[in-house]
Amino acid sequence: MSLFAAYNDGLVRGGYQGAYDEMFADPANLTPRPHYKALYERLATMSPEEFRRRVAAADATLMNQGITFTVYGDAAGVERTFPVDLIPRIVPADEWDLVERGLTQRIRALNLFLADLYREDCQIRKDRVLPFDLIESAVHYRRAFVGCPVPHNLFVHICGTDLIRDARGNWCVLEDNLRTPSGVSYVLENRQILARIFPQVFAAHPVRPVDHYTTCLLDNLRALSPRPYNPVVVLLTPGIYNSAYFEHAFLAQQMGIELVQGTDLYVDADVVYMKTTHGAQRVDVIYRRIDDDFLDPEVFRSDSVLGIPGLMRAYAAGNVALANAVGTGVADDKVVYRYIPDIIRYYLKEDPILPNVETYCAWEEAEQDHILANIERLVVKAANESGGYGMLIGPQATREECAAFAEKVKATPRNYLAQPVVDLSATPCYIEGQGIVPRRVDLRPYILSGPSGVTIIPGGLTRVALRESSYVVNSSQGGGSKDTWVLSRPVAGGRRRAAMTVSAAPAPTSPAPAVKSHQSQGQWQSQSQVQSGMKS
Amino acid sequence: MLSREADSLFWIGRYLERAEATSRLVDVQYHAALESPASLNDPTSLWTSILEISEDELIYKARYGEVEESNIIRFLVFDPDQPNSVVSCVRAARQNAQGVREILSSEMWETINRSFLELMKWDAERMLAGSPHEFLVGIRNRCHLFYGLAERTMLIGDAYYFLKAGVYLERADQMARLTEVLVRELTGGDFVLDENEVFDTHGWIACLKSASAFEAFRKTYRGGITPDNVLSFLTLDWEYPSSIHHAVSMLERCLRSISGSSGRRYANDAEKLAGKLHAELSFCTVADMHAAGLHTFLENIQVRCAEIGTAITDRYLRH
Repeated sequence: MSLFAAYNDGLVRGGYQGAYDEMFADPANLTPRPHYKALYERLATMSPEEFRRRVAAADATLMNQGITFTVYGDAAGVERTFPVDLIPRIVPADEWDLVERGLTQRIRALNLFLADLYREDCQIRKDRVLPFDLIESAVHYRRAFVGCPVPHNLFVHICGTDLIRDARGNWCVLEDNLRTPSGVSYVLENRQILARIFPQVFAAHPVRPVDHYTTCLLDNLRALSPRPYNPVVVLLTPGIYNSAYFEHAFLAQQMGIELVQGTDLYVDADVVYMKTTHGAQRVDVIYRRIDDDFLDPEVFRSDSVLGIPGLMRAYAAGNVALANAVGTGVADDKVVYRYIPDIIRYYLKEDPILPNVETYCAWEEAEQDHILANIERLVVKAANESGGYGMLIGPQATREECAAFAEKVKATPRNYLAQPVVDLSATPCYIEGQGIVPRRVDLRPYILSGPSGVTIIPGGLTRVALRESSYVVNSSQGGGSKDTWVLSRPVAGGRRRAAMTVSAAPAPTSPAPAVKSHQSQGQWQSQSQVQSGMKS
Repeated sequence: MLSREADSLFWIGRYLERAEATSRLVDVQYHAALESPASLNDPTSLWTSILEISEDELIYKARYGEVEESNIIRFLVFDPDQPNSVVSCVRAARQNAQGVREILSSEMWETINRSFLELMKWDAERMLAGSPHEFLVGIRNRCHLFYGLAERTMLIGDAYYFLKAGVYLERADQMARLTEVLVRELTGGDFVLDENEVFDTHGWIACLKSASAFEAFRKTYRGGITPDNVLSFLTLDWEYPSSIHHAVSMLERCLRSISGSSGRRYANDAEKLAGKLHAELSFCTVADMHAAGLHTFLENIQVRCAEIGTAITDRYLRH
């Protein structure tokens, strides 16, 4: 029986007919798109038992390596693995080109926007491109840091932007994550797992590599150092109970930098030090995975035990750099999001390459009326929540839930916006007990900005809503992930790895060496040979 | 390196060595009790002695009451509320490892994580129904795999030396406790080796085995098993890798590697105390041990180990 036997049933039962199908041009007849043909044919001939064996092998790897996350408010399961679906998501070269250009444009504009917002003489305010009281009322706007110097005028060094595809397959931006986006470790780990579990499938595709991410990130972090010579870069984590702790440890390990907690650092005379076994050591750059609010109890939340008293003094004095900078959250405010296309046009004099999802804002009276009248058809989001918390999905909510949310919107319109339900694209996923069926996905590419430019590792984290019919891809709400394969353009001279694996006995490329005369050098010495050699 | 991380590494070493020592002890004594039907010792007294090694006798009695084999095994191996049980030690080691995950190699982390997850699937009933030996050897092998991976994959720097310092300090301490309890058991409680006393060969063999020392002892003392030879071997031997003497000498070496101090002088109290104990053990003989009194001598080593531990914490690990 084919793994795809239940695909059509799943399509209908989960209501995926309207969605763009990533793998199939015609889902009803299982006609694959050209770039999925090889993968589909391989899977279609694979027995369910064989596939299941590989799933079990992947699960065991994840558990043993402790690739887990912590779910808040869930007493039973403290640690869970983030499920990886073994069917990769494939993005052809030309599509990725568009995405890459669009994301590069967007992050350039966002960095210019933040640099403008946090200087004394803010231009965008004067030019009234967006209602400035929206900025001033944004929870993550840090007025106190206006005028504070930031290395290279770069605010966002690591950005995770969530992309979705509408019913026609067009890519759009759902949201930007400009504070402490997480998930990149899963991109790197998923790749390793896929390459180990499906080496043959992997070899048959020209997949662009992702493993330069940490190298590039480390270069960018080092470039922020106020001291030029051999800077000390650390990663600041809230600790082992944080949901993303695995990622913090993983990135620190891959970059070879210290993984520190707030209590490992202290500030003396506006300089940050870490407590080491050989005394204090100065810290130049902090890749912080802690939100602004918890960084420094002297400035932000005084009850924070995660932060370092005095850190903001050191930061303002330019003695330590933070990645991302303080105050970037103002630009990923879901309300400010609506104005990003205008912001792109304003700073770059270009039209946005990747569109936003249509958005209604509750503080605009006409739009609020629209939201309230259509709440049962809309997705309503709180402006400052993330991780899938604090939102209403109208079509899936009860009448009472909709009414309750409508009251919230009326009470604090500044905090709410609404979007039509975008039919996230669907792609084949393996679900135990069902076989391969469609599930909705999004894509979070990771965008690095440094003094030398913008780097985006090809692909990113494809997140999957594993529950049938669900639109929610967040790991904290039953989401999983996939490896994302961005294919390179066909190069003259044929396929790179497949060609290598096909020929069983490679023909010598240089004239045949005089094998006999070199034989002794190539042989392994064995113990008995050594001993007899000693005797003679 | 960070003091917090050094602290974690030091304690990973201590906890794993403790788990290793406890699982071996339970293994050997379980089989000693099994294999000597006409033993000179009452098996209950043996288990009581083992409780005393971990100084948890009172806690045991409060929780379980009578000394009884399956309960003792539960207490020593599986009890999650007993801080020195094998399960608790492995859990604590894993928790520490989580905080230094970026320092350990992926292989080391995976080993400790896997060991813990596997251990969570077991309980006393399942172990006693199957082969306790296989289970307990499995735990020791996991610890040894971890040590082996440290040798093979870790940078030989401070992190490595803090881990090893923890291992050696714990080993010295565990050996002193083990020897003390076994000697008491084999001398009928008075710690005096009387020439006229009946010599319990089985007891002294079990004693050597519970320290993984039997074969090494045979190679060293061709003449045979005498109490003085066993004592000398476990505490003073230069070549046996688990002797107190060797453990302390390696501990001193780790501490000197951390501070970078040369052989001529010590850099801090931890080194001074470790060096002093090392020197004393280097020049000590079994006759000296008898002169001091075996009980006093072995107790003293435990006190000294505790002092060294405190000195290491004071100098390096506070955070």
